[in-house]
Amino acid sequence: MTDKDQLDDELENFFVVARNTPPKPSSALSVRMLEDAEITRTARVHPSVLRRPERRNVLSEILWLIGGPPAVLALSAAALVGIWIGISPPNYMADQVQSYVQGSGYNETDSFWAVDSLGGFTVLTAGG
Amino acid sequence: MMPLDSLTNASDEALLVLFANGDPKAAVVLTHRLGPRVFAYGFRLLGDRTEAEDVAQEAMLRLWKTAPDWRPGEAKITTWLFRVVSNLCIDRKRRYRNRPVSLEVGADPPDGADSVDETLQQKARSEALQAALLDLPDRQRQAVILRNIEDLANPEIASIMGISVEAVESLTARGKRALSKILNDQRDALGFENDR
Repeated sequence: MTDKDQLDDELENFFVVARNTPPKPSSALSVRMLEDAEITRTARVHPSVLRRPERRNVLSEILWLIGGPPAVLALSAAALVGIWIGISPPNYMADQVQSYVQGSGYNETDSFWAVDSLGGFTVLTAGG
Repeated sequence: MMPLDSLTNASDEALLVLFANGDPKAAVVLTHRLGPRVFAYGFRLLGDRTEAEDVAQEAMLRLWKTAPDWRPGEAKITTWLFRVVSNLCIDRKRRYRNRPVSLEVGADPPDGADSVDETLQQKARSEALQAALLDLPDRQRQAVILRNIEDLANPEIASIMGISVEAVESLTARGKRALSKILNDQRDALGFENDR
């Protein structure tokens, strides 16, 4: 056996060990890979929710940045509820605002923060 | 959706097509089949466990994203993945050129290791080989790992590295000569004599 053959054999022993004992990844890595797979798959199944618009303009960018159509629907619903409360407020809120506006005018202790929002409990507390 | 058991014998390409069609179980099988291999290759190139995990995750993410556009028969998925990992590792090595590397390979000894001495010797050899690989120039290291550890054929390695088969042969020959020289200096500590 020549020196070269012997060196090749010795090196091959190292390769055999390396092939038989590959470095093992952590179990967390496969979890991360599967999470990526699921996000990618979901983005394909529901492209309008997660995929960035291919034809971009200012409006579509803003829409995408705030979270897409579901976020717009949620914001619209919140705005409609706000308008509805403004047009037809609940009774206790109307009374509080009216007494403030028609009262003895502004003094230093008046503030919207000082509005008694638990006025309905006066009887209970008075009764002990 | 196909049951998991029936997917384990499917080819990589068939699984990728199933995944592209929305089957999440295909991703489970592909991850368990390819993830460890992609990580091991990245680790041997970089010598850093955390970096290798990041590279492996990024490579698999690219596979998931490319699934709908995959053209069957054009390239093997493993060839494509090894190419992606190679490029990602080259990028990282450029960015973190002076970062210290870990030589600890971390694998369990094989079942055939029947004595403590043999187990320790195999661990020492594994770590010595990893250290020696990291001393090789990048292209030599890549060629030697793909040929002698991943056991790929030269034409496949040529496709991964974007070079000719002759260039692969030259790189592996020079890489092995350099490895022999590095490891020969440690022959007593690594128990060469026991192999004769």
